[in-house]
Amino acid sequence: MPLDTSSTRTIEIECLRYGPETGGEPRYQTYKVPFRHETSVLQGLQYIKDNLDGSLTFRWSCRMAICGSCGSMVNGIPQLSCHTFLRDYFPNKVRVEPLKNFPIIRDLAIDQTDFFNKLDSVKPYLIPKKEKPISEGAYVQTPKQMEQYYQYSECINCLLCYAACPQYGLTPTFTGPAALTLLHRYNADSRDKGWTARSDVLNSEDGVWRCTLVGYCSEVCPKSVDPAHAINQNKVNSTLDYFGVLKLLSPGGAGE
Amino acid sequence: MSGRFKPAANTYVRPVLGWWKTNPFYLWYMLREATAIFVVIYALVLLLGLICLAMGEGAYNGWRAALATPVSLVFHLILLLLVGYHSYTWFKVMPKTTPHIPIEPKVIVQTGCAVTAALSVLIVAVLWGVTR
Repeated sequence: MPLDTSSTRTIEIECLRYGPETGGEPRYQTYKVPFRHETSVLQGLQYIKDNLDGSLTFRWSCRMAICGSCGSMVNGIPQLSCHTFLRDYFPNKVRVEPLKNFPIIRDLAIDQTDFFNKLDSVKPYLIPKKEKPISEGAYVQTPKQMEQYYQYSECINCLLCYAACPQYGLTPTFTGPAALTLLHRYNADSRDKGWTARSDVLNSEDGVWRCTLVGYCSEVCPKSVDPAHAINQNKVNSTLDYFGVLKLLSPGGAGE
Repeated sequence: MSGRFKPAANTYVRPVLGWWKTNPFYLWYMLREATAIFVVIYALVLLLGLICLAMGEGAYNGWRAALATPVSLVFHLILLLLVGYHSYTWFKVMPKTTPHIPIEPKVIVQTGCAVTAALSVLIVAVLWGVTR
């Protein structure tokens, strides 16, 4: 059968609704939404807001899987709604909920405050051994050195990994996948000497040791950042740091 | 976590009870973790054998006779399956624990499983040769 890319069909989208002014339990509301082959779940939500119910609240920006704003639970799976297509759910209905493990502000919008505080705590910026004036030029590095952290720098802070992490759901004090990955992104950078500044967060019980390698964070990551890898290779580093071996292995860098 | 950003007011926090039933991925994870218990049980069976050996020939032969009963054989078959699955998951997560190296995760997993299988066959063959 040839691929039907032109006709318009109708799908039911079931959205979680919650209003802070009314409080109480969230409820579900179903909308009938026309869609075509290329209509994303986000576009379905936008259709609802424009044509059916202007009060439906959700976050979005780029529509092309790079801004990380439109993450939501689509049929229970953490996904970017702009990167998920209604055709894949038809003829069944599709249920859209706010990202799991986060407090709901309104409808599909979650409160990201906890993540921003955690991101702040990992000092996500280069901490060079010695600041040098601009006149001395850039901090250079080889492509091979860049390879060590590049993958982890692709994180877009979409928080799908937090919604995928049962440890974060059970213990919200856990620093969590994305923040720990970005911590590692800077530690793994040859221009950075900030291991000591970040080690309290990394070594603590709420740091890498809270992770039990469920591994679902890496499955749902839309940018193949692999947070589970970033965290778990640092259990070895954390152990080496505990025994004081890390600074011997990488003089002038980690553990100093 | 406290910090310079303050949380929103009047939010709704969803319960996490029964989280592991919400996704097959979590069920496999729980199975992986649960199989660790059977690794401990098997270690205890072997430890018991060691204690019996220290107690003397009679106790050791008693332990061996207990292992040869049909109930024990079925139990060990189940143990073999679960411990085998545990070993597989051990290698499955190994690529996540290695440093950032230019080796495909798949190669690490397959090599680990292949070496385990080969060594297991070798050990069984040697024991077979020694005890026959």
